[in-house]
Amino acid sequence: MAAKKNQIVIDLGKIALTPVQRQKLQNEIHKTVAGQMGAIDAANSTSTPAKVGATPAAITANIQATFTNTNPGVSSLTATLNSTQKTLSQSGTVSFTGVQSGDIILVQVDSLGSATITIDVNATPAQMNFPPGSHSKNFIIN
Amino acid sequence: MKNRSPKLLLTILTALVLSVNGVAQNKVSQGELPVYTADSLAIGNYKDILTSFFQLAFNNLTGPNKELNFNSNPFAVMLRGNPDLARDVNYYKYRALRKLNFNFGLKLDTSYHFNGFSAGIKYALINERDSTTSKFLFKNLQNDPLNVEVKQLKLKLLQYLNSTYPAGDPASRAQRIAFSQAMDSLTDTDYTPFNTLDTSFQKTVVSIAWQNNLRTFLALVTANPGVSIQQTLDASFGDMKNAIKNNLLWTIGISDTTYKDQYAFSNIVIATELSKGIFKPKPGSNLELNINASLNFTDDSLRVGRNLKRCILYFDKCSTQNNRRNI
Repeated sequence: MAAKKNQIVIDLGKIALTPVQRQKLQNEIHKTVAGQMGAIDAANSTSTPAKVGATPAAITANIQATFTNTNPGVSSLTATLNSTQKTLSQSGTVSFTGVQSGDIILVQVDSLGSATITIDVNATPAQMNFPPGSHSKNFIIN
Repeated sequence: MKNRSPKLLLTILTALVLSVNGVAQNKVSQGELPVYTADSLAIGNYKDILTSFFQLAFNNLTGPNKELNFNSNPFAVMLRGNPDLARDVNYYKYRALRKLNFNFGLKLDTSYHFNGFSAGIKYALINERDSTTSKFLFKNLQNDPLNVEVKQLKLKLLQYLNSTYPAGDPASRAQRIAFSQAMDSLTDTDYTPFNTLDTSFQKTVVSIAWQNNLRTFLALVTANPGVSIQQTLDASFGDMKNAIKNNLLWTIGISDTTYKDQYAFSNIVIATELSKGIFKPKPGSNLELNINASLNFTDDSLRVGRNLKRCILYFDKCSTQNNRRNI
């Protein structure tokens, strides 16, 4: 690489340094370069702030159901988005792709135990808690 | 050792007594956790035979032979330390522990001195009364006519919502959200009466119910417009749960009692108990068939020294009219 203007090139091989001095010099160089890289990373991370509360045009929504105080198999969850239905018979997750803002997901639960239903996208409500029995409620995607 | 052991037992019992209140408070505060109260678990004899929580009893406190008994379930104790055990997969995994009861008791004399110790375990060989695991109950819940129709109605209402107020139309967004909230109110746990919902929503619901021939639902809201759909569903589920309290419960257990002056068994009892409801149970009243059998090994006083050589077989069959509500 050719030397540029305002740049000093030092060939460390031609300078008589003790191993201790050489190690110290390398450490200082590493420290300086790492500091500059850290500043660049920080600048990159602040240059594209996350959009809080925004729902992309079409996303994947994961609905997680946790049934407690009951056995697997004596619970059922049916989640309906438009004409698509997903079901569970024990704790687990169902996913819907192509979910858009304004979509409504109907959740219907039958369980002999308690049920906690959560969704991982910005929706109202973010979580549903049901006691034993039959229950249903809607997630509205924001 | 002889002096330290009663103190140690008293300490353990005190710790468990204190933990009972703590558990109840924790369950309520955490919301999603089960609220284990004796009354929520069972009625009548069921609680005497098998408990899923803690039972603490002080017997004959003012008499010469006082007793302090503690009865519990290992799963309930473990659940206190790890709430994740309540998750359905773990609930099934530890089913054997849920069927097990253990108990121990401390006997005291008039001066509150150690007068003997008792302990025992009990296992439910058949428990068809557990409303948290009964497949029969779950099938009944799913096939409940009103539940089936409400589910169908909700799906039709969702279709109506999507066609009338499309998600992609910004102009109808507010109406879409309002309709969705009305759908929630139809079956909310606040028990909103049907006739207090938005009038146009009520008409839409009734119209869709007519179109889909949802007779049970229509009969309910026509006969009583102020009815809460969710309250009716919950009441129906409560009746279903109550109905299985009549089912078979069969337990087997072993218990022992020590001498008052040392930790040697003075009595060992192997007992089995079978309970089956006869008529449909009603709150506060239940007629049950109880069959008890036990084999009692106790001290044969004709032989020299302490022993367990005397064996008594005991059998009892009785029907009990149970009109009490346990603590």
